[in-house]
Amino acid sequence: MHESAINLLRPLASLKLTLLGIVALLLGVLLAYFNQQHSSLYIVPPLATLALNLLAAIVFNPRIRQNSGLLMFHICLLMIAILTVLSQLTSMKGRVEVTQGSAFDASSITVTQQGTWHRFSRLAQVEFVQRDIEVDYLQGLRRGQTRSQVEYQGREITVGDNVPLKGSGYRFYTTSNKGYAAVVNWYTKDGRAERGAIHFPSYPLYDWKQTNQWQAPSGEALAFSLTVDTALDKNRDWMLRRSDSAYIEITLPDNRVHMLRPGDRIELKNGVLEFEALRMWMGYKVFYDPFLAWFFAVALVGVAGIGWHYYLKLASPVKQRAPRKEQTGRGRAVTSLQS
Amino acid sequence: MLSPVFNPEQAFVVLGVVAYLLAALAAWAGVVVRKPIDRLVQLCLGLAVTACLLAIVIRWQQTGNGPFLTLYEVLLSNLFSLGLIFAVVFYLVPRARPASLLLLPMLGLLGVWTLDTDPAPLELPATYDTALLWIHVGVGKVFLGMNMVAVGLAALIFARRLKRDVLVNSPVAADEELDDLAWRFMAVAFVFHSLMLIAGAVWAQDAWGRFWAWDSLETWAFITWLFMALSLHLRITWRIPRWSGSLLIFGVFILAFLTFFGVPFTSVGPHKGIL
Repeated sequence: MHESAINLLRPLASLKLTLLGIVALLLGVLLAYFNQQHSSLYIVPPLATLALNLLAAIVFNPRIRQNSGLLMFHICLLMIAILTVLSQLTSMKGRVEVTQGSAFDASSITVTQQGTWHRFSRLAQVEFVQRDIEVDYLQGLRRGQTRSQVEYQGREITVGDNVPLKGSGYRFYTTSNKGYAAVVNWYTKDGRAERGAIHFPSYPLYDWKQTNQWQAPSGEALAFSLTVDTALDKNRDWMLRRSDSAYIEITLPDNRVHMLRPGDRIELKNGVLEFEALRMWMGYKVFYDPFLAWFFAVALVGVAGIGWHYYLKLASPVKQRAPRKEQTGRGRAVTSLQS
Repeated sequence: MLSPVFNPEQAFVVLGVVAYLLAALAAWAGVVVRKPIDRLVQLCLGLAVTACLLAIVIRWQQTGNGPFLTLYEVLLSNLFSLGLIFAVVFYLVPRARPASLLLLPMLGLLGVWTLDTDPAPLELPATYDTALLWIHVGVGKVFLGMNMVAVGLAALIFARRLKRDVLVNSPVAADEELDDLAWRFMAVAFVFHSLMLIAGAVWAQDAWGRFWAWDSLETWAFITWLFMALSLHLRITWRIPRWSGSLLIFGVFILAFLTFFGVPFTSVGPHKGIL
């Protein structure tokens, strides 16, 4: 039984299968590159074949087992394949917009990818408040540094380019998606108040289209248009930051237009709408992968393994052949190194 | 395009390119006279590398940024790094010197391409302000340099395959030795390419919140890595003829060359700054 199982598994260690697997993976990567929607379909079968082949080779191939560096490299490749599967099952990607002065709300995340085993319970533990946002722009509107201040665990920290906010295993990356938000209060006739923010499109990308729509709790559909003085000049260096010099125009369902400055109110059918202030919002990319550090460590150990293996091989002398004498057509002997 | 006003940076680039072409001429002269003129090749190579380094230093002082972004900068920095790597190999591994017959004219052509490229600078995106960029680019240059030396050696094997009497009387090693040496350089290239992928993934994770996203550059870099793994395996599994091994080395180099000098400048990706 044991012998028959070994006989069954041994062919899986074939180097020819390795070649086939690599060629299939190459084709899979090319297909996935041109059709990313079905990338798993193209990548998983060759990757699974190579993983099985690797496992069998580690067990049965004496050349791999006898070379510690080569063994280390192949074990690490297998581990990367396993980690890829685990990562797919547990990781999460999403995006969220957080208004300046507001706390991050886990329920407002738009999930773009979620592993079957991912649980959101830890995300609720992430608490931070968005503070000031500043983005440098160089002449010609080339984006420079992004500085997003957040209050996290009682500390003010700055996140931005190459520096994400990390909490409970989640990472929050600033994006190029950011802009202005009108903070509004809604007062009902019976005295209750609700607070919210209307996010206008990304600025300065859509500086010509700072509009949005909102339905008041009373059911009225309102159209908002923001005019903000940011001193934006494409021909000079400039900084995107909060501005108090702004007003919004609200178009009511009957097409009447009201202009509101910060602090102004407008009476609607069943309540009062107050434009409290103009703030900013930052779009974050949310990322969770508990195996990120493992990927890095395993990849480095793998490269160290193959590096060690090649170092030992390279330390051996180069194959050399003594030049041989041969006769040329004119009858004189010359040195030839032709093999 | 060359500016009509004297520009020390461009003057050094021109000097570097001329020195590379002179080095190539000296290497081929060695074949013609059947006696290597290594000293002269070394001198010209050293001059070319120094001139390119000075051009980079002057540009860096003027722009405040390293040569990482535009096609001109990438070409110029590779003109320096590939020349430096080959100069080190030329000095330390005398048996690899015949690779200069192909590599030096190639570096000269790369230089001519550099001179024909728009040198206008661009500001570095904020995501480039990281030590990871240096590691990523540094190991990437070692990979390309090692691959390039292997190409130079493989070309000699292939040239003999095409025309049996070529280089018969020249001081070039036997095919067996060239082949062994070429694959040693490929092995080093494989290690450094792996490191380049790791450093790139770490940088992408920090800069854009993902370590892999089928971005053109990373996908083609991975395809190059896979092709290199395939080539190394093919050589072990089937003990392929030397000339086919040479073709595989060329294949890796073509993929790498396109990845380094083509893909970043023809694709729209996060490697460029956006609003």
